[in-house]
Amino acid sequence: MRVPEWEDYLKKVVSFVKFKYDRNDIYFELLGHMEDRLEDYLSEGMEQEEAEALVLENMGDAEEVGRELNKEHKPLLGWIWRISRWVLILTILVNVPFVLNMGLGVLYSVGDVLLNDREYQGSEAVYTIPVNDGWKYYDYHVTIQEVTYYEDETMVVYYTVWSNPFSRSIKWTYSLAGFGRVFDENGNDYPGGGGLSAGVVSIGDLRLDGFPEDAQQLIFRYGQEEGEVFTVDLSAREEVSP
Amino acid sequence: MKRRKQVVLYLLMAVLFFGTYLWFGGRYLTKEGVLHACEAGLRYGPSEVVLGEYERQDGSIMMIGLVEDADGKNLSMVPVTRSMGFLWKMKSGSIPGWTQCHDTVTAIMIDPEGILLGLSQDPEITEVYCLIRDQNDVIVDEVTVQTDSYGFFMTEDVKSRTEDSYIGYADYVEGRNAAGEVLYRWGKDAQGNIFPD
Repeated sequence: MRVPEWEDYLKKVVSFVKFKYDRNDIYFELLGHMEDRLEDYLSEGMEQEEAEALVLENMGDAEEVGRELNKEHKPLLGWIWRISRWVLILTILVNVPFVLNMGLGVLYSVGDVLLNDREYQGSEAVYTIPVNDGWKYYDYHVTIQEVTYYEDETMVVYYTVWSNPFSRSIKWTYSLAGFGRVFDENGNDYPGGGGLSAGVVSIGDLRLDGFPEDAQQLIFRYGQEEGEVFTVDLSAREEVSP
Repeated sequence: MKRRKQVVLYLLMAVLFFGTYLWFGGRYLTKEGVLHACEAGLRYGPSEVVLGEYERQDGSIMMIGLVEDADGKNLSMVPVTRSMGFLWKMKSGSIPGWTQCHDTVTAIMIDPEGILLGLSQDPEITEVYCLIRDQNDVIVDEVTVQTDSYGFFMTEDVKSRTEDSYIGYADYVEGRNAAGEVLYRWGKDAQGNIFPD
């Protein structure tokens, strides 16, 4: 509601508040208080004009009120408050890109699990071995889910890779396809190709051509140190029914 | 009092969110932090020591670390750049990363910045002499540079072979001891003689 006398009063009050950014808040806070008082008077049966005048009279001297409010709204604290609020907003905003990125990563992973069929279509499977084990190298966790051998002498390794999102390392793709260090027990190496999805958890397949059917071990040398190998025992195979 | 409490709360939350920005946003307080974070992501290192750095044509800085493996010393080369004026992040694009230096002396020429750097595996070698040739096999520069205690050497203001961004090996390398005796040589010298490794 608009009461011209009230507006003049409130403008005079806030003119004594040096920190100009608080003037608007003070204006409307006092106005709200005055409107509440007016409602009280009207509910007691007082006439509109009389009530408006009484509210204004009870507010006190505009200069006195303004100077008291000025003491409470010190410019220095006001500036610190404003700056700290903007700093907080800024620090929240700079986090938005990687939050979105992480969210996309989760969506990619979920989508890949639900929609992507990685099963090798080149020929019939001969045997498969569930593994569900792997290694940790630096911040990366590699899990070999299963290995399947096919009639065209292709060994396919199905695996997942995820890295600790809380580590400080800069994340790169860790694909076994570019690995170059996969051997059988006789030391023959198999370069391999395949794919790897993007996402928080990456799902991949490694295809080793010309892998012998009677090989007993599939060995991944994932590091430079002597013990940094992971071996799949191929003798524990499960023949696939035709 | 309410406003004071709000200021404290805002600043505490800002510190928290700034921390998450640093942690998850790939920002680091030092150039070395970026170097080690990149190495961990690429699954090597960390560098035992930062050997040097140089400014690239695009204004970013290439950090050079020392990484040893079973076969000897190698370089770790990661480009870094400023973020928000006071933080550091890895420069986007392709990076050299782990750079194998298993020859007795490996000398790398970087264009168009005109920088020659490398590593000597032999502690007796204290000086390296190189010839730089362009695509037409014409010698454009010859360089003599001292190695440091790690066998690392680097010099700037070498004549570039090309204005394009290119990292390759020097065409001829000599490794000399303190007495000036040649302990190692590789490549094609000024007379056209070829010295294989």
